[in-house]
Amino acid sequence: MYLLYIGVNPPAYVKAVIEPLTSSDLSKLTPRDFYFNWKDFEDTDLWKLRLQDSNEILAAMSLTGFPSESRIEINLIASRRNNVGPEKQYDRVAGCLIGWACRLAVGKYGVDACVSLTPKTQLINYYKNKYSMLSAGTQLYVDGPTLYQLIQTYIDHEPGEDNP
Amino acid sequence: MNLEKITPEELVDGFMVPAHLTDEQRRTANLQLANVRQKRMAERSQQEKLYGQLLQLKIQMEDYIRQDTYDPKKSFSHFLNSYIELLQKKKNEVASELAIHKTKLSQLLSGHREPSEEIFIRLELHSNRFIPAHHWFRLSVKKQEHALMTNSSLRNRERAHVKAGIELAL
Repeated sequence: MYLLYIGVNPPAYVKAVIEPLTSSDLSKLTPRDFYFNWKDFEDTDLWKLRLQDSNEILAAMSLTGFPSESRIEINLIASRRNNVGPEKQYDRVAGCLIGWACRLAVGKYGVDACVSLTPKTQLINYYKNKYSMLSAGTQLYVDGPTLYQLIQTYIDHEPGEDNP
Repeated sequence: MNLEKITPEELVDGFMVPAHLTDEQRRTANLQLANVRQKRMAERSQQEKLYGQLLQLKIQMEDYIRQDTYDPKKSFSHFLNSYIELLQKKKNEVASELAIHKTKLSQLLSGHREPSEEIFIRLELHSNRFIPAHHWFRLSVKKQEHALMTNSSLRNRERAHVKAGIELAL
């Protein structure tokens, strides 16, 4: 998968990887760098995103699986503080992590796969617009062709298939 | 930079900041979602189902290819069997579509014959390029690699043919 490096003109795709977060990684996810107290999410399924040629964690994600509903819920995604605001260098961070959650869901639940999240109310429309999510009352969700499309856009996408 | 100072557009590109729900609100929200999904699942087309099933198969192949370990249950033949099952076609029909003899397909499915490069490419084309030839190829290579690394009788036999070797020490 690829992030979009916007620190150059024109922007360029750079290879990224998503891996399970280890217990030693967890201590690096300080509120100072990653905004939230990630130790509160210790019992969830934790993932980290990094550039392929760097060990620095760029973002982290917490998931919970609901096998009886063929669903994975995204509890939290946060970028490293130095990739936010005026200092931001990489785009597609949350997209790649959401795409990864979709890929995990299809790998486990196949055609019934669903990914859901419950964002703050003021952000609901933004998630709907950017990731084509649908509303089911309080929660947003994605399934079927829209979910497959997120995998295509953020995980399977190869540079050269389009221009940044 | 504080999250309050970040634009909503930027927040959704780098974050998923959750709303706080009480246990009761969460139960209600889960129920609402389950109801909505039940309706949607009943309306899915056959094409949509097939796409999802093939994507699951492809992801399972990719995950196995990435693993360092060899699992005899996840062979080329295992995934080929799954592929044909998903298509809900008779084996004779698939053999005909791939232009191979039905006996050859049976041997590939039972693992009694190793697939050729032509088979990998025909399978890629058969899936409308959805499952690339190199996925099938890597499954086959994984088995060959395991066989090479664990074939002690071949290793012992070949030792007799190596008349001299380099000397190597730290």
